[in-house]
Amino acid sequence: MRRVEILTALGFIAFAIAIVVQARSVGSGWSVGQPQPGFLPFWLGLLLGICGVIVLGQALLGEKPSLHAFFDGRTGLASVLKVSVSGIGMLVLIYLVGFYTATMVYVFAYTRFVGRHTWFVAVALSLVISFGSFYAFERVLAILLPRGMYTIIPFFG
Amino acid sequence: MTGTLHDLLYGLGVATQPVNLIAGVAGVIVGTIIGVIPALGPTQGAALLLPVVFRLPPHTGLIFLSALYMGAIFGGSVTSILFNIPGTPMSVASAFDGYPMALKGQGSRALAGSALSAFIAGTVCIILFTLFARPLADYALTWGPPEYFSVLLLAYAALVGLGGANLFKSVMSVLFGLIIAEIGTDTITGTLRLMFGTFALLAGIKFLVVVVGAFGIGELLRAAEENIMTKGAVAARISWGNVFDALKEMRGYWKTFLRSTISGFWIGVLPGTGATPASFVGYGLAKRFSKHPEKFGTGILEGVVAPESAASAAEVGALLPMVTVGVPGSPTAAVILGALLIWGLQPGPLLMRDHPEVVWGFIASMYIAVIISVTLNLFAIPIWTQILRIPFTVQVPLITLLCFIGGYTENNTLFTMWMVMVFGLIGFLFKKLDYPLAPLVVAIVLGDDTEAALRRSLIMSHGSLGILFTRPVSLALLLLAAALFFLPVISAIMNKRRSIPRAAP
Repeated sequence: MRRVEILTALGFIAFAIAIVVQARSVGSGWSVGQPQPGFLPFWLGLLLGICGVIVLGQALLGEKPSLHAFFDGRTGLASVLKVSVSGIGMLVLIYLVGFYTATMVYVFAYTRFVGRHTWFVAVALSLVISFGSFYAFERVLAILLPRGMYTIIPFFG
Repeated sequence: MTGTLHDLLYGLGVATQPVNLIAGVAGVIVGTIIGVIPALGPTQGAALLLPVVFRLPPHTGLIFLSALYMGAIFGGSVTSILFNIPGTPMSVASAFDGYPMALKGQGSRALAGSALSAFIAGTVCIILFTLFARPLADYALTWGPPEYFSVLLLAYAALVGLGGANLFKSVMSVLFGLIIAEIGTDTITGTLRLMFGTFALLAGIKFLVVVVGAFGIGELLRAAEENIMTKGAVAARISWGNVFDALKEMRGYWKTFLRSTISGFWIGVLPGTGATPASFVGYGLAKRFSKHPEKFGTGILEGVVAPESAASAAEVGALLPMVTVGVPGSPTAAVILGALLIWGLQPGPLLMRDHPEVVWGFIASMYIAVIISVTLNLFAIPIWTQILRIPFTVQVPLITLLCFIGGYTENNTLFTMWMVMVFGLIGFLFKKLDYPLAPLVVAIVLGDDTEAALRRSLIMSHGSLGILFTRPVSLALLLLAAALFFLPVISAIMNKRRSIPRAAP
């Protein structure tokens, strides 16, 4: 936990430095009677950096090194990875084959291989959710969700 | 006075026409479903359904929208209390005590309390609205950017004071949110800034993306890790006994209720600050003034009553600037304002004169919507909670997809879907390391207004921050903000002082 705490504080400090640098590049002072666009971001970034350093100091100088790890045991880490990696996989699939085909693959893969539902349940859910969302968003609500580089199923995309 | 009363009765007449009542019931049902689904809130719901709503006449459409709004808020409280997944940002504070209550098996009492506080606060505020609408609006109109900036600082100070253990982490959360709100095109000068070298950030990062990511995906990740979904499986059945029990218990909290309602109404009136900060301020005030603040967060009804009544009061209050001056008080009010413009109705004082049936029908319909939402939903809670029966491994892909879609509809780029994922991971990290999420989200929502108010103040004063301290209303607000900000620090020191002599006799 302590290591993640330190890394996060360092991440915030890096973010704050990036903001301060970018704010300075668009001007963080005063010109023609008004503050420049970088004025507030500059000071916010500076404050964020200072707070980051304080939190970093607290983590480094903390009297008791934290007892538990960031994840208690491997099952927690595994579950979080399953959800996040499959979500990222879904995003990559959208890029390749479009939202609805990606949904079909994603729902099937998740329910079958992570959820360990039966083949029938997994296939049924994947078809219902992908076609259902296609009907709801594309037809009823007229919201066009992204198409991919390759069209696998015509119109469905 | 009699004029406004007459107007309101006229509005009630409009709202209770059969067609409009049906629109109200439909709106509540759709709204509750939207609210129960964690990734969809009232703003998204209203935005998604606008194409349908435009086909209705303006007053019917507005009643549908306000019913949807009320239903979504209630639905948001249901998931917030039962699953610790706030369906809407304004129900985040309801989870602080609502969820512990649900874990103790008092979920139905918490829900009854939440519905009743929303209902009573709504009623009180409709009366306040009709009595004080014009004088209050006139007063708020005399405020300049300095007062407005001070009020926003007050909201942040309240959030930090509430944030939890680490003051610096809360402040960082606010700062991080404010910076994110400023990414992209500067609205005042049109300059592109803080883009990290990518034009995908041109339009900035919208609060919806952060909310959907941090609360939707982030909560999903935490639920996956802790297996919360199965733990949260709470039996929720509302009986009249629960409703009366909650009502009886609430009588003891009338002070909390009054404080929340009045502060919530006033926060709602201020443009840009809506139900979300109001709910936190309500919760914070209740905790500050409580004789037993340590009980907050452990699952007491008072901790549900305070944010719910403040949020409900702010909903009504937020309509005041929208109806009278055409400035939306909340994001959802902004969507409703957009709808009015498409119908060819320009919100503002002229609308009250030229289309009284729209304005007063809308105000009355908020009230009717609260009644429909409470009666319909108190009995339908068992149906909504059936969502619990869905296995977690099926919920994951469903919620993930809804989060992606919710992010995508913000500005129709695949990039926002990635941002949803990124903020999901950030949200998870925040929760694990005790960085409070609420200040982040509120800061993102109010970021643009905060910056605009500060810059206008500085333009007025030719670059001197002194303007915030020389104007009496602004100074008073700043002092209040400082008090809220430093109160936890001061009370911690006082407690230490007090405990030292006891420890060393």
